Amino acid sequence: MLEKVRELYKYRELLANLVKRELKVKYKRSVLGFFWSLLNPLFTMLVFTFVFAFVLRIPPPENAWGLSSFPMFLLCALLPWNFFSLSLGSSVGSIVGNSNLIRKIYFPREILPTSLTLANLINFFLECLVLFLFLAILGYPFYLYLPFLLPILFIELLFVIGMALIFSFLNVYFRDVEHFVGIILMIWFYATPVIYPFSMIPVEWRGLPIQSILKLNPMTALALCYRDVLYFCRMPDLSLLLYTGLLSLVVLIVAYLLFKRYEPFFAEEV
Amino acid sequence: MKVLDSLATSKKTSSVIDVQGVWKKFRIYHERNQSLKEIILRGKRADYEELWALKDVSFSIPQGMTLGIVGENGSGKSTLLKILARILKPNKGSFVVNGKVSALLELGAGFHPELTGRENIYLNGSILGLSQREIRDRFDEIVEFSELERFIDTPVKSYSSGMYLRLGFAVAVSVDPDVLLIDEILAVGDEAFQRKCSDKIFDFKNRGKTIVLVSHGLEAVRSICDEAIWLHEGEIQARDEARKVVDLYLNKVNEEEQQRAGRGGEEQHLGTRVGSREVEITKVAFCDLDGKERDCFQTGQGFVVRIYYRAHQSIDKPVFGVAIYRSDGTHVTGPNTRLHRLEIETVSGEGCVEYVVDSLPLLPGTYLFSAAIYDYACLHPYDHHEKMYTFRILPSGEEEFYGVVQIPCAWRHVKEKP
Ligand SMILES: Nc1ncnc2c1ncn2[C@@H]1O[C@H](COP(=O)(O)OP(=O)(O)O)[C@@H](O)[C@H]1O
Ligand SMILES: [Mg+2]
Repeated sequence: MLEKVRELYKYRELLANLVKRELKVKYKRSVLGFFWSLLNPLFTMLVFTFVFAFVLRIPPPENAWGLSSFPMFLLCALLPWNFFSLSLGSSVGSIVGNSNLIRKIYFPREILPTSLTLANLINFFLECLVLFLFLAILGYPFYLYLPFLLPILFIELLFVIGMALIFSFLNVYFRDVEHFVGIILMIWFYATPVIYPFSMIPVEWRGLPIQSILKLNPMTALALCYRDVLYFCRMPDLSLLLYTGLLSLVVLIVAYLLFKRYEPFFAEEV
Repeated sequence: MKVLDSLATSKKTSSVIDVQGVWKKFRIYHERNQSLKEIILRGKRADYEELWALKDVSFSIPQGMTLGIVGENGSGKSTLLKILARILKPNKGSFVVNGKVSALLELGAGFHPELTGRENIYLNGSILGLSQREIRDRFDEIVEFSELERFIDTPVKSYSSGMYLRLGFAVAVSVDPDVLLIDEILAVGDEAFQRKCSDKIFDFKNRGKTIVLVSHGLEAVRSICDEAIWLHEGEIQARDEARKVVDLYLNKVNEEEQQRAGRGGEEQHLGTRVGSREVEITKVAFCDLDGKERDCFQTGQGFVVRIYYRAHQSIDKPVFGVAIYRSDGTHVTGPNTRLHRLEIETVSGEGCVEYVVDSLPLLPGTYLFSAAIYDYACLHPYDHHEKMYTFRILPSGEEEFYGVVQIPCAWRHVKEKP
């Protein structure tokens, strides 16, 4: 594992360059490019707010300061979710899609999904800044527990990279994984409390401790933690965070083992 | 043998590349369609055959030697280079390469069309393992070598294929490797580019670098390489002084050619065939618009050429092209799918591409026909059947009879000046 880290370190400039390439191509060098990319979450927010807060009347919970706002409630979980789903969606095809490079040049293949994830991370950072601005304007004291955001983010990053690696690997051997990912992500999205408060889920349902079961979903755990810090402006649930951290580590190790075993054969499979 | 000994002592000592009993196996899938769906429905992965591309290959190369590799298509030359470049992993055996390796397998692989030349130099340089600083230091040299001073800030999608090649080559050699692996790149590009490449290769050679060169240009192998290996169906057939190996190989090729000429019909013998054959043309058929195969047509009739292919691996964006020559060698036309904007995403397995002419404008005579499959840049031939086919246009008595083609036209008599 140390060896891998060392090799990745050696190729860090390639990683940086691929991230840059991704962002450059995405924004087509236009200053407005980034602002365009903000429009997407903004419109999603408007649409969801209309449907879920206005039509379906899902009430946004109140925090300890008596503040409540559905758009903010939504964004605090939607942005981390988007980071996950966009990264996974773009990474899954990254190895097969770069077959032309892989068949011709040696470099650690995990750089491809990782670079896409990091490009999305930068996007996520920028979106977070905008979210902070909104929260500040609305008077949320989100800065109180802001340092906790770092471990949460770090754990999400580990989880996302691990998943991106695993799915990009699977797609080399089963080309339809790329198509399944869209469906999986859609189901996963609704299983994660992004558009609804987790508290709306019954604690028990026909004897099943449904809330506890759903908390096993690492994206649920992460969404709850992000919301704790940013929306409720309180301490996140540390046991939940610990669980997610361990799970992310396991995912990453599985990804590492899969790559170690199969990466040398990618050039003939893609 | 004497020459060999003196070579060995003068170029001396420890080997830079040492390959021990390397075996490489490929799976040829019957259907390229590996998917979860299939597995769930049929309970197993796609059927495949195994093919040994390299069988027990061992050799070593001392510091400073230029080694050529010759052999027919499919004999495993590229596979060997890719193993040395760490792109492929051998199934058995081991190898050591001491020093920094740069592989020139395909020039400009990894260029991103939307990025400028400058950005691509940085990107490609880092893919090849250079640091930002190293690239910055060599930037001017790269630009100068590629002669792209004026275009360096233009996206590479607007580059001509020559510019693309020069930039790719310049970046690849700027790595300043200890070991240079070269596959067939001397076969692409124009005369000037090829001269530049071979100058650079000689330059490397003079600086005592180790080079492995795969080339169809046997002359190049003879003149550049010290020694050569002849690969045949994945096995080393001979290893000796380059000159001798090339002669051995040529003898064998000529022998086979003659045998084939003796056996096969003249149609087979006609023309020439080149290409790396990852995808092969298996048959070319001339048909009329109803799909009936024939080789005689009349001016103004419909003309359909079916190019049947078999792809041994999936190939992205191939370009299919044809050419028609009159029997005296006049090149009448040479269209291809790229010119006519037919984008073929990928080919795998078997298939057929049709070249359809609604009304053939050719006048009576005998015509030679070429069919070819190239890569998207139209530089690398997968399979090129040059003038291997003939068809005839028979007179019907209604066509024109001066010239080569009948151009659809109308005559008008205009009394006043228009
Ligand atoms: N990725 C691959 N998948 C399956 N078969 C391959 C692959 N690459 C090469 N082969 C097969 O291995 C053999 C050797 O190919 P190659 O090394 O490209 O030959 P050469 O470069 O000498 O023409 C050929 O029969 C070819 O079809
Ligand atoms: Mg080859």
